[in-house]
Amino acid sequence: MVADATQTPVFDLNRQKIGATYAKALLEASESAGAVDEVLAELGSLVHDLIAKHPGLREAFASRLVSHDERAALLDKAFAGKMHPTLLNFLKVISRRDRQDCLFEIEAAAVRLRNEQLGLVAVLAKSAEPLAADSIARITERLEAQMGQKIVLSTKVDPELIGGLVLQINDTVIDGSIANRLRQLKRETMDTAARQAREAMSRFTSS
Amino acid sequence: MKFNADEIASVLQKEIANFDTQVDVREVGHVLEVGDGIARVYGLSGIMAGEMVEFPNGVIGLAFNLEENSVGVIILGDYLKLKEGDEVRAMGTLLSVPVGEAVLGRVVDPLGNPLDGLGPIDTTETRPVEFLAPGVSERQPVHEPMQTGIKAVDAMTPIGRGQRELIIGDRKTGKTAVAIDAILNQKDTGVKCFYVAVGQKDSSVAGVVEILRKYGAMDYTTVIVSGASTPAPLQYVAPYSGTAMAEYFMFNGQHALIVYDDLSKQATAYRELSLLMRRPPGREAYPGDVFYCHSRLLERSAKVSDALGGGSLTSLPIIETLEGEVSAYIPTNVISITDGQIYLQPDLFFAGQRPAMNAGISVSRVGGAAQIKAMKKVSGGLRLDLASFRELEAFAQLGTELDDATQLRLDRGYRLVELLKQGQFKPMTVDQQVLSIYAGTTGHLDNVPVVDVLRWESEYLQFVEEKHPTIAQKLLETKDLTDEIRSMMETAIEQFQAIFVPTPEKAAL
Repeated sequence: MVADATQTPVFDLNRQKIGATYAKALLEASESAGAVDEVLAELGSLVHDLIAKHPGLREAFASRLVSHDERAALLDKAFAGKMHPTLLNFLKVISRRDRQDCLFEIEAAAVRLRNEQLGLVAVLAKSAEPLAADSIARITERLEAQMGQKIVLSTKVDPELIGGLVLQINDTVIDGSIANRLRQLKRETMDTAARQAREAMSRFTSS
Repeated sequence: MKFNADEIASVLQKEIANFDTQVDVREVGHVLEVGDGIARVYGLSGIMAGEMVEFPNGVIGLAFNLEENSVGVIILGDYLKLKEGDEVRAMGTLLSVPVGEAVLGRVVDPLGNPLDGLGPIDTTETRPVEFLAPGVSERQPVHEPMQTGIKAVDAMTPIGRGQRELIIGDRKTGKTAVAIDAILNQKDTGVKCFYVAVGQKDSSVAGVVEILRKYGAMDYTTVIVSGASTPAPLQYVAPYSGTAMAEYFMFNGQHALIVYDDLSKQATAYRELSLLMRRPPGREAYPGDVFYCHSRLLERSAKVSDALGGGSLTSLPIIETLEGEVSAYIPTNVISITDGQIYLQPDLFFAGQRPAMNAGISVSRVGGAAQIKAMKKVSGGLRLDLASFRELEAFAQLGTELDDATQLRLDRGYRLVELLKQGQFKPMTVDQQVLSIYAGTTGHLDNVPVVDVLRWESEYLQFVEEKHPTIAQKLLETKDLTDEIRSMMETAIEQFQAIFVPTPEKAAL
């Protein structure tokens, strides 16, 4: 079995760079074909619904044991007519260039670039429990009012937060989680107790 | 002693009741890779060079390299507990250390954490570790002497307050000893001392601390330690943080002395960091900005103008050479930055001349401005005399017949060399130095056997102290070699010569 990077989505700076370049090309190509959103949606579905969920397909697509011609034939057989021709061509290009392993990065970069073009800001909301639909709507509304920009909200469940909400906008994290408050409380009480003990040790001891 | 749990609980309860929750806003990144004291971090897009970052276990880092896709961070602490994917948080501040009177008498690490087990450092004031050196208009020329208490140094390469004098030499030539003597001699002068130990064995640092404590110098001294076992980033930062602590006194109108022991090890640590960060290597694999690394450090030593309080920061950087090679990269760099150097030589050291200072190539570019007038007058020709003596000495070894004048110069030279020997931890006051160097340069020792010179000196100084205390008083008062003092010294020497008993010839051999 050939080890390939798509099996374990490890963060790799080089693949990020390559992904950004290919994503830009894909966006421009689909723009001239006049079907940016369609191509992006199909790519997203291909990556997240198909490749991520079917390891066998992933291997067939990414393995270097399969030659380019075989893979192109496979792509044609599987997707011709069902997929936008621009995306199909793009898949053949990355197959010829041996960049199949960067598909995840390409998809992420394409979404990011598209958001930038449309003036959208990606926000990740983390909570301990899955968020209800109306709270997602309220969060989106509030954030849009605050930032004066349209946002795309994605959610993630992280039980370690205990409660509350953590919002991540690019590299800025707004942390309102219970876990973080407990950490703060711990630090402050420890500091105060240590300071007071230093000032008057006799208060805490009886000899 | 019993702990009172109720009292502790009540303090905690009060704290919890008053706890004000704030939503925490922070800029974050994620660790891509960690190793050898550096980390590569993805994210942190708004970070600035030199900004502090915090790792999950509370370890502090410094943004060192800002690259297109990642940030190179140097880790000031234990990097073994960090792992890939850890959240790194920008702190929005520059690295700073505690400063003030509270740091005196302490042994601290480069971040200002105590290492001596004497409890926390009780101060609220801090200063940034990296600080711009005072500019031209904020300075004034160096004019006050900073006595090291070592005859050879104070007479031939005088150091002024605000000067940077390099101590350079091979290993085991007494470099640290010169610096420690200079610290010991600052007792009762109000000069605060800082000893920065970079990349040293912890045992030798413990030895230094012990000596400082024994001679009562720890009262006004701070020791900043980054030993050989600490990661390179801490060794790189140590001199800067020591300087930040010393600068506090300079900018408050006081005087400080800082010893960097030694800068070659700091340069090595910086080289390690830079190579790990993939900065291009230059000569001897040092990065291109290793000169700037030292120049920005040493430029912070200054004598500031009276408008700013007239404080000063004197520095004694130490550089270790290999086989006397002063033309290596780091030695030439630091020689060109400093205002002079004290060059210590192993052959002199093993010949018993301690301090093993080579008078010919040791210089002080501040010169006479940093000496009192009396010292300037008695030591005027000393350096040249010694240099010509060294020449003659080499010549005389060929066994040629010498005329009387040459023989006299040789005899004088032998005695001057002997007179400049000085025991470790025995600093001399400036009046004592003037008394003994005067006796040497005016030829009063020419008839004293060479082996007796040091005994003659110590007995003579004792004699003057007991019989002619006015000489020292007058010297300290006028600071000049007036005719009156000169004649008093002549009579004192005359009286002493009459009672001095030289070692019998046989014993001398």
